[in-house]
Amino acid sequence: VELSIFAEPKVDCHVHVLDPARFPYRPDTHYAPLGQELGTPSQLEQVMDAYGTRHALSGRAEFGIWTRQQLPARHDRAQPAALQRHRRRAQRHHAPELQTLQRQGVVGVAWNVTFYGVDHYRDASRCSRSSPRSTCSSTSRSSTTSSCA
Amino acid sequence: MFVDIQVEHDQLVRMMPLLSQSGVRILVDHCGRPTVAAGSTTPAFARLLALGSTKRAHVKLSGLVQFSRVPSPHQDAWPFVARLLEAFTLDRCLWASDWPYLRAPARVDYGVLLKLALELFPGEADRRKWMWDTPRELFGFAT
Repeated sequence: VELSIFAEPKVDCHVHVLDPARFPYRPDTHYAPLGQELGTPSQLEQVMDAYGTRHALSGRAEFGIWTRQQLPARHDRAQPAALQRHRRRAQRHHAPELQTLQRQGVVGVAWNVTFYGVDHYRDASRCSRSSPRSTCSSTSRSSTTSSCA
Repeated sequence: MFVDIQVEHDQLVRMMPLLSQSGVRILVDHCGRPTVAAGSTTPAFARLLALGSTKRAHVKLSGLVQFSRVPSPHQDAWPFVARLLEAFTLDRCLWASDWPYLRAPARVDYGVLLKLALELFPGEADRRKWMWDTPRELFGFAT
């Protein structure tokens, strides 16, 4: 691989953060990755640092959200309790609360039709017009490298 | 706010009415995970290509391992990438790794994905647009 690509700036638009030791899965979760499928905030930060990825968009399999955020600060302190609250609020379709979600790094909702099937989303039309059915976040390496040392 | 949608095979056909009515901005994961054996003229892939002209959708040129039938660098998926690039242009195409590769049908490594990126986009300016300028502007990341 040409080394230049490691130095080129990159945004990784699809990563997952899974750290059940710190943020346990819900008991009713449909999918609970284990072993090498896990990816902690620290592990993600190391990967981003190694390959020159400055920012990332992270999906939360447990909560169905995509968030735009800094690592490790928001992953360590604001999640997952805050995301559980976000999820409940999002389901109530409150536009002002959506603005709050955006300020906290949530940029969108995740619909995994490959996993849940088309019928799972048949009632999503109302929420897709106004707010998330489930909610997506982002991650930046540049400001966090020093704190990872 | 975006709807980030992951579909495969013909699922987009049934999801399109909902997406069309909603007016939301759309992110499509992993090239729409088309059925490679069916080619790039299926109704589902045609709808995905049509989304490109709406200018309210972006597509992640990623996750080739999820729909390719051959090992990395998944050359049977490259024609789909080319069609999507043509339809969406570099203004609405995004790079993604899918780390830590949940439910991947074969081993995936970050470095190998970057090598694939070099093969798909040998020009540094194109790569910068795809992997940096477009997503940075879309999501409002700082430099």
